[in-house]
Amino acid sequence: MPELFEVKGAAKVRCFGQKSALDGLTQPAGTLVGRITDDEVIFVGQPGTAAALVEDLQGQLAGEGNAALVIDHTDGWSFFSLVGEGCEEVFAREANWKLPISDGAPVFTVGRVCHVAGKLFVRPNRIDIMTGAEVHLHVREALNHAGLKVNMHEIEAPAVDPIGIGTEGVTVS
Amino acid sequence: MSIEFEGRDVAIQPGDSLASALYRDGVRVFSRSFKYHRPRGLYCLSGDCPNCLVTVDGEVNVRACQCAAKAGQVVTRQNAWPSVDRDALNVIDKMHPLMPVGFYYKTMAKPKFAWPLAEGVIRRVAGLGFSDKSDAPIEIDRVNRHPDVLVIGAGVAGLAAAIAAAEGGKRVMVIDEQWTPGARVAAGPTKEAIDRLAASAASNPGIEVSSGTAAIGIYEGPMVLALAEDHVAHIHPQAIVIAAGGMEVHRIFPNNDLPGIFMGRGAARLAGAHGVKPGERAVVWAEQPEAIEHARTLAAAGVVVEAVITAPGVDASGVGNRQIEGSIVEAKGRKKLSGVVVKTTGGATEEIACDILAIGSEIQQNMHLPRLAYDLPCILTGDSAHPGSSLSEVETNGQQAGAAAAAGLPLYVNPPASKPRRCGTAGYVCICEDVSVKEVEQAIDEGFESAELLKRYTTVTMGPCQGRLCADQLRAIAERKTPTEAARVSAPTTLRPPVRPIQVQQAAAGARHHIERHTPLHQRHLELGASTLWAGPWKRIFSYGDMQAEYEAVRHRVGVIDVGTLGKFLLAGPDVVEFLERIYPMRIADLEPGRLRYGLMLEEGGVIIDDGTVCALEGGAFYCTVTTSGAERLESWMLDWRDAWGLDVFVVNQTASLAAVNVAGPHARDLLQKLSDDPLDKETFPYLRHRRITVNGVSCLAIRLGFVGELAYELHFPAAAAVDMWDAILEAGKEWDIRPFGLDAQRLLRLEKGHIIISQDTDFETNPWKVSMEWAVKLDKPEFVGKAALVRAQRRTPRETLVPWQMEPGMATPPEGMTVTIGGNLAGRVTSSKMSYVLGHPVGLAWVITEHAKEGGTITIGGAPATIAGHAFYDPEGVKLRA
Repeated sequence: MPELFEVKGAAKVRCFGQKSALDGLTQPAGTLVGRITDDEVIFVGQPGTAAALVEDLQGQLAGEGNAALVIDHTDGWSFFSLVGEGCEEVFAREANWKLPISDGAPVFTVGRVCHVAGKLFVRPNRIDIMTGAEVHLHVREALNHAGLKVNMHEIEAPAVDPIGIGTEGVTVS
Repeated sequence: MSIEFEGRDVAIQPGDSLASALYRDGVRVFSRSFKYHRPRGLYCLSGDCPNCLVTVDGEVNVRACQCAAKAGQVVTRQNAWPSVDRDALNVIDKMHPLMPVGFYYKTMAKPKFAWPLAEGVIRRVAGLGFSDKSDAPIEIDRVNRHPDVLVIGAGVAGLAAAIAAAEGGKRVMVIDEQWTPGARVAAGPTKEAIDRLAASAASNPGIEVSSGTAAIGIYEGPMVLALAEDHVAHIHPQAIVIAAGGMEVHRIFPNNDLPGIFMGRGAARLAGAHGVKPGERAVVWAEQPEAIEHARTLAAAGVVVEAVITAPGVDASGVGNRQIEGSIVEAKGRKKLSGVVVKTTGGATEEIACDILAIGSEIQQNMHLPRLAYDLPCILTGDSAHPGSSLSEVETNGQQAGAAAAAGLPLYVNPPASKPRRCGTAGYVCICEDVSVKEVEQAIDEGFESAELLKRYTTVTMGPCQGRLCADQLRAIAERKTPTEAARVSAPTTLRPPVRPIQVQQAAAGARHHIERHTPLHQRHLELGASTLWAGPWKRIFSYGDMQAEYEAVRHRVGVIDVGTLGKFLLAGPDVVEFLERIYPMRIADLEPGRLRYGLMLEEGGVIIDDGTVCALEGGAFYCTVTTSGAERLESWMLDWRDAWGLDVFVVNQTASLAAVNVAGPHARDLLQKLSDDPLDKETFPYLRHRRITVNGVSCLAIRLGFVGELAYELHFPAAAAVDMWDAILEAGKEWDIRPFGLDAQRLLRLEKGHIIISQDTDFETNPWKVSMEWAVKLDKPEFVGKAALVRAQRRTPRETLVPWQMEPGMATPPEGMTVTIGGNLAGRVTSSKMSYVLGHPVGLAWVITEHAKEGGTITIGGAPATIAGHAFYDPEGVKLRA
């Protein structure tokens, strides 16, 4: 039975720069990473870690001068997680595109979910959905509605490791 | 187990459809026809004809033959008064001569009041069921599926194709309208084959069989739209196999719509699949070998087959009491079939008494889905490709189709061509809309020769069957009637989804037309009793209940407004100055850190598309705001230009990650100073400057600007701090009786200052010259978007100019959109208007023909005089906002 929870305050840090500079970044421990475009990469960390992430990444990109930019975008996107068997069924009711298949490692992808732009991490039995904070209520309502037919319930996010990544960091394709 | 049928219980058996259960119970007339209220009985039992439409549990127009009977269902028949069995409205059937084809186009046109009256009567007595008009929304879910191969139809060919495709390593989805594969197939070799293949498919993990799911449309993608019991499926396969089968051709002869006349497969389904004896004495019209099996099925059910009428070459030896080579030319009976007239190939006619006629006519493809699949990766198989094939041929053909789909072979198909069918000279062409051969011929005589016009004029093909029964017959009549125009009339009419009637809520499944965007303060506003309105894609605050009080607070004390909906962009990178110089028509390079500038945004034609501010930050970055509705559009717009120019710039949309509030009014500084230790005085922090300050413990970008014409500070800060910041400002402002204010008050405040709102006061032709904003454009810059057009436009006097206007005290405020006249001639329109509390008279903005747009000139708005002003009405020198 799938479950839905929101990870409030999950750290989201966006890095902009030349492709080569972003390619050379070392992924901070305990983060999910998604390459949005050649010149933008996003790191997602546990709640409360945004400042440390910004500092780490700014340090790594310091040599780029004004050719790189690190922005804390934590408040700009909501982070919802669909977890458990059947989470793909909930997703299928709110998105018309095919999820990539994860072999265990998180797969980052982008596409429309609940009729709004989304950025997703896909893992077996887990789909993390980031959408604009301005449509937070709409997305929550839409996902809950989609889950009605498959007995999905919304729960509180786990107190420990809510983004489900541990503290080791994972390299994402 | 039983269902409730018009007040009585009707027993149901496992595997029953509503149609079979009711027929077993003795129901013979299932409906009354659309127009003439002729009695109609079961005919096709495949969901193709309109004869068994009933109301089930309040849902109208349910096909009884396709609906599984479930205990407790409440079923009623429709379109009759007082009852279907004794329908007084059947009198209309006697009025044919008074209602020629297209009569509603020809009659009651004069006097004019006649048609609305007639229309009401016609709508009541003609039609199908009456739907529930209650307001309760019924929401249908939409589910997306992504199989590799989609097979439409779980018959022999479809299941064989599915198994072959799965064996080829593909994930296969099979959909079928029936509630179980083969549910309507009579016992026999075909049923056995379906059961065998269905069992094999069920045990194959690569195949998902979704029964009770009807494909109703095929679209580009490809995407197949399908109706399931409780949702609408959007299926996105890589390849489609259509195995939708075939159906017998609708035959036309006098009285061809009497209850007791069945399509051959329909009669066989009733007898063989549901175990219901259709009647006592049957005549079987066997135009092809399959119909002989139908005769045997009827005989096995205990029906006396009086005669088998065969086409040349069809062997009916040993089946039925008599075998006659010929055809049926007429049916006899009034309310039900009592006999048929047979014409032998020798030319003799003979009447044979019977209560059932099973028409085993030529098999035609179910062509609706294949025609929608034109030029898409799709393959046809079974009867959909080769109607009338043998069972083994069908299975082999299905296997080949599945293997081809799995191999990703080029599958693109041409839809089967429409072809004219043999057609009698009398009888009903269209049993959905009650259109006879005579009426079609009459329409052709009136000049409606092309198929499309015939369709619209006669409504043939426009009923529930969507042309399944009648499209080819329409073509046959047209070609017979106008042979010289054959090429023109023979084109099939345009086919569009849905191919089956659907419910309105099914059409809207999954749709959300209004997605509300909220700032992080939205809930706080609602708690304060705010009313909202749409502002672009956002829900913004219109008022907190007392607009004038909100206004007075800003003008005389202090107010605060949530402006978090503004588009907010951080722009940085090595080429950012060059980029902004090209994006904006004003100068950017000389904008020092800490300063800001108002900026228009223009499209290539010089038309204003947005406006906002540009703040130069330390370190070479810039912070830009745009209007509430502009963020997403302008983000794409800027990225497009960046890519087009190849400039190294980062465009970061921070609209949602930053909250913004504007504290405005004579005591704005006093209020903020209570929450901040940073100096806010006029000398340290003057007008049109910005600084990073800490307010209520939160680092904010504070911007001094003045849309409302008062001392104001706009604070931009992380959205997570929004609620605490809002509460702190309201708390600190109690000393001055602070009020939060909404858009209604803001619009008056800005109007008194003469500020425009993009898209309210501007349109798709508005350039800066027309709104007297020359000061916002620097034509001596080398390049910016819209410059060339503005240079050209500068040589011409604009036809209209936006001007401020005012009326005398005591006059009513004209509505926005009101026309402006001068000397009785149309001279413009009002774009904004409000009653000014501080001035005591109406003020506004209006487009006025340029030659009249002179300060002090008089215009007329809604019959009342108004004077054109030359400057802002309130604080024209800007002393207050610079305080």
